[in-house]
Amino acid sequence: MHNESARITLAAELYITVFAAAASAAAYAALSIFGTRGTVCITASAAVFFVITAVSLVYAPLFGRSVKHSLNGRILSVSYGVLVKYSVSIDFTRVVYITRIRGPFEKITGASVLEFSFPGGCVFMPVGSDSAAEGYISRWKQRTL
Amino acid sequence: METTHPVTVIRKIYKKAALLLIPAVRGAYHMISDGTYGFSDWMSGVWLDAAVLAAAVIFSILNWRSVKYSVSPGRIILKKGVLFKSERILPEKRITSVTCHRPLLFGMLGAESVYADTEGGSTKRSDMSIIIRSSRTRDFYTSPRSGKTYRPRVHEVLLLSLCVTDTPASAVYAFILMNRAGKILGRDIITEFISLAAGAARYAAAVVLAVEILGILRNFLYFSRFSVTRYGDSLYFENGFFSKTRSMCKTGAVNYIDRRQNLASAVLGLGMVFIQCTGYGKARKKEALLVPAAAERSAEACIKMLLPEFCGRTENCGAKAGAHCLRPAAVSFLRYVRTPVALCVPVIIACISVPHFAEVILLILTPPLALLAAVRATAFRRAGIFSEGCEISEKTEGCEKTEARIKSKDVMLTLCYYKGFSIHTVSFRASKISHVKIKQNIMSRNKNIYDVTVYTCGEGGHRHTVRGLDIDREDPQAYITSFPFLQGVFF
Repeated sequence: MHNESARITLAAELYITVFAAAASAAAYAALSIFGTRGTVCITASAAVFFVITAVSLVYAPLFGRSVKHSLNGRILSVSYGVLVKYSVSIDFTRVVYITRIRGPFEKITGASVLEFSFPGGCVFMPVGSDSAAEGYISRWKQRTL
Repeated sequence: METTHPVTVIRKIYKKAALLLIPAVRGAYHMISDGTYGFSDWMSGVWLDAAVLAAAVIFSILNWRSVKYSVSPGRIILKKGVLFKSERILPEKRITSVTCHRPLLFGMLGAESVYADTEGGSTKRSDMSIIIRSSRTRDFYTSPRSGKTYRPRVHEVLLLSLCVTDTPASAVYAFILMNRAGKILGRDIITEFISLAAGAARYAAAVVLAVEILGILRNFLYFSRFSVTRYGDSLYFENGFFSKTRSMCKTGAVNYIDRRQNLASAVLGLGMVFIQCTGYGKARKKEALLVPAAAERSAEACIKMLLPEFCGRTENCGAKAGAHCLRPAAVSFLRYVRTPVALCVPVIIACISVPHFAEVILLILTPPLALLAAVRATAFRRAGIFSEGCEISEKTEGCEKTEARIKSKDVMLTLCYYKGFSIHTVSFRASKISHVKIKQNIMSRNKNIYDVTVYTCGEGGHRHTVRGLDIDREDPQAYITSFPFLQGVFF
């Protein structure tokens, strides 16, 4: 099993931090609309930011560590998730096409997400390194193209 | 890597920006033409709208610049995304259908939309959707050099347009009905309100009729100049009067063909033939047409010419061969007609409780209920599951050979069933079956009557349910799965 948890953890933490900033701004705006005093608005929005960030400090490493993927013969196995575990095995020869998705934080950390589309659905697989992603793509190309 | 056509920018923003652009331009025109106010006054009022508009335009331009594609032997690579970049690799041999669509505006600008689809991906969106220069479409779509071509006659396309438009007859019927209702209500119930309502209803019906006629015209223009060509292992479609659409789909990706009839076309002996091929028709959200309204015999001839893999209907042979044919039990007739019969009850109650409106209620509800009952009765006569194997046994080979043939995975099945106001006769290879479900409701528990649902492959799966089949066995699941034509699927 590959495990590039550190990079995935960092990317997840960065995304949750952005989410925390957006949530705190929304909280500030909502409290301001209802006429709450300025200091209370700032305190509440800061609290929202710190609570979400603190949760991310626990959640992101757990999520990063939970990501596991392997290709044994024809079977691609992917599993991840903290509260809800997601685990799937698919026949790699049935994969019709692959999409590689990289957001701004994936570019910084070197992680990426591979989307394997096959008849009947698709599987998203977080991958911790470029080489691992390239490895999957090249193996798929060898079998398909 | 190639870039897409600049018209992509307009396509991306026109829906978002049109709402802002029109009032902004209108306001500017009034302010400047009035002369009292200047540009700064106008800007002070619309700066937020202008900022949003500018952001939308900038984002669309960035989005357009980010979309890049390359076509190399064996694969297509598509890159897109501003913040979230994605790179998709589509193997050429996995592409099941390609559609090139050129609306009138695109034609003037030298642009064309290209949609490519595979067996994977979303059921709603194409796997690749780009707007490129018309000269570049040959990278994705090449017209057939030869092959057998079928071009329907104009009247066949017109009949098809009438059938696929949401029941134009209903609009005519609504118009007549409202006219008559106005008269009835105006004479019998002398209240100003009802008279007014009846008068208004007449105009409403006229509007509905106009909309329906526009719908027919739109469908007629869409399907006009329709042609299908079989060349190699692909089907090539062309249609459209103003907007040209060219499609290619691989015959191996055709999951099933659907011969569809409503009551009117059944009476006239006409049939429309549609196909289900992954991607074909998805881009334009239109029915995947193969043969427009044509006489049953000529429709079969067209299928034989274009898709010989799917030719041969097996209804009659199935009845003779017995074991490879399932038909509804005689007692299932009640199941087929119970819905229209059950719907008659509230109609009768309504007529009794509001006698003044009885004539209107009967006028409104009787024709659709009668139509539904007629469709169900016709469907009962035709319904069943039939397999190709028995046809072979009848005509040429003995029983042993038949068994050998039908054990192969490529046996063709034909299911005939009703859905709504239409009767569907669907043919597909057994290898296209995803799974089979058998259901028995509490009312038919002692009668060995089952509903059999066959799910076929394709994006999202497709369901075909034949109701009320007579399976006189202790274990129907085992019996169904032991069917020779399903052995390749289950074992």
